[in-house]
Amino acid sequence: MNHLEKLENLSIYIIREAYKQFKNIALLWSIGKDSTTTLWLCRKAFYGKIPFPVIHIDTGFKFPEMYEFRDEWTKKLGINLIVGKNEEALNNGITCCMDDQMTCCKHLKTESLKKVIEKNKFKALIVGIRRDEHGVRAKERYFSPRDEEFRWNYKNQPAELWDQFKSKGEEDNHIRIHPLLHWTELDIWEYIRQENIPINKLYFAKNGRRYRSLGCTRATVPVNSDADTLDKIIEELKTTKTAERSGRAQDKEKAYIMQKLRSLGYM
Amino acid sequence: MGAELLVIGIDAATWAIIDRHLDKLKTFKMLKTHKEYKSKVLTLDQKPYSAPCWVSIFSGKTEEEHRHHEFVVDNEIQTRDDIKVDFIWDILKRTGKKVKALNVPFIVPPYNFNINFEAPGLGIPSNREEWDAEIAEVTNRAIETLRNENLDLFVVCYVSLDKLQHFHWGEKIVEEYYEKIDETIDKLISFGKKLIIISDHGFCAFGEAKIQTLPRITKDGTELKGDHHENAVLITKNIKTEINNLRDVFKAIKEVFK
Repeated sequence: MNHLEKLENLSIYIIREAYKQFKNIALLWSIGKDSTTTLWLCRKAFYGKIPFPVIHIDTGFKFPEMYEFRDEWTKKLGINLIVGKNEEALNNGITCCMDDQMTCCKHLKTESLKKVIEKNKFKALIVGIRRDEHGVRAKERYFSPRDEEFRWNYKNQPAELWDQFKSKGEEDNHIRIHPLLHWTELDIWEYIRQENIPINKLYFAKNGRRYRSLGCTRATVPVNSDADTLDKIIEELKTTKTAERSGRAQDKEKAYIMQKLRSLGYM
Repeated sequence: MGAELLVIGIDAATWAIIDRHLDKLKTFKMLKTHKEYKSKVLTLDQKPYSAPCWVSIFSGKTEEEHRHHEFVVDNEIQTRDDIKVDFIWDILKRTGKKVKALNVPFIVPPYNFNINFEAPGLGIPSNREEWDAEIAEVTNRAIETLRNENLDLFVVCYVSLDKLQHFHWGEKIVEEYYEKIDETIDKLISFGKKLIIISDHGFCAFGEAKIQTLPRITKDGTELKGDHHENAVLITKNIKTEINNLRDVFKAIKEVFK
């Protein structure tokens, strides 16, 4: 079994285990490469037909190419898509990157997702995050409990030793399942190439720039790159020293704020 | 145009500097001596720490009640939604009052209510360029608003003094920026029929305060030259409510619009 097959095997095992434990489950699809890979793994896990809904949280500020991609592949793959959008917040003037720059995410992402979960009574969500993506995500588990407010108490998580997963949660808990946790960014792209997974064109370089991570238009900037094919992206990732989410405004701001607070002794 | 009540928040402003340099701080001198204004040392009965103090000022709750202790909790920067209390602007807005709050530093970047503003240095200005930018940009936004609108309450805050005192306490530059803040207050005070000028805490050299709030050497190796002090600044005009602690500011504002 090669490296990618091992990764795929564990991910499919987790997805099947999750579906067995939580019948009322959904997949969160951000239209990015990781969640699209997760979607692909879910199809493989259930022989081509995903037996649960797929949720897209629409902040109203995504790239037009992301909406086109979502609609095209929803139709082609026969996905049961639920779009969550906080129309109330948008009507009340909440826009991307307003106020303290984190508030918009809470209203347009978290609140939208809460509403979708409440309405559909989902007990668990499959989310395509990876440990190597961001410092704080390194603390995640494959089966990660959240409380009713979506809060994550990372100091009080079940151990996951020797691939033993605590897939049964407490009654009030909501569980996040992370089948891609052990993948790296490079693994994802090599798997996309191997499986010929459809991927958004924004990832491929145009005029010397490409998006390495996709978010809202005002909070995401492209990185300098000439990688306009899958092979070139894979080669680029083998040598790059730029962080994957370097184009995400929120992450940059957070890192800057943290560093400043540290220098002032507040942390 | 202007505001029925103007609240000017100056993070870490301290009488220790103001009193020593009153000859150069003309506006502070006028505020201290003119009979229209009342000024006093406001001694805190809570930990002199900016995040909880500003919440106490504008929510009327103690730190134990509002539970906003730090800017960052479990590696997550706190936002307005993490603080489960109503602020004075939330309450007044519900009663139909016209309220705006600019650059209130209980979170980072500072909070804005009903007004768009991007704080220079993301609200943690850390060098001369950013301190100047904060004072200039916050003042411009405040004056632009107060000249064009008729508001019930306008809150505007500055954080530069706090940041620069941490790094430069005891140096000439501190006086220089008190003079800039003095000029800024002079530009703003005519826009408010009633006025409250408040600092969340004072400032001092290490070891002078009752409680040491920050480490002398920070985690990234920076040496801090000063620390927060329990004696804050309070100046009022046409405010009847007696203000004896930070939470009383909330009560005083509420009383104005009763």
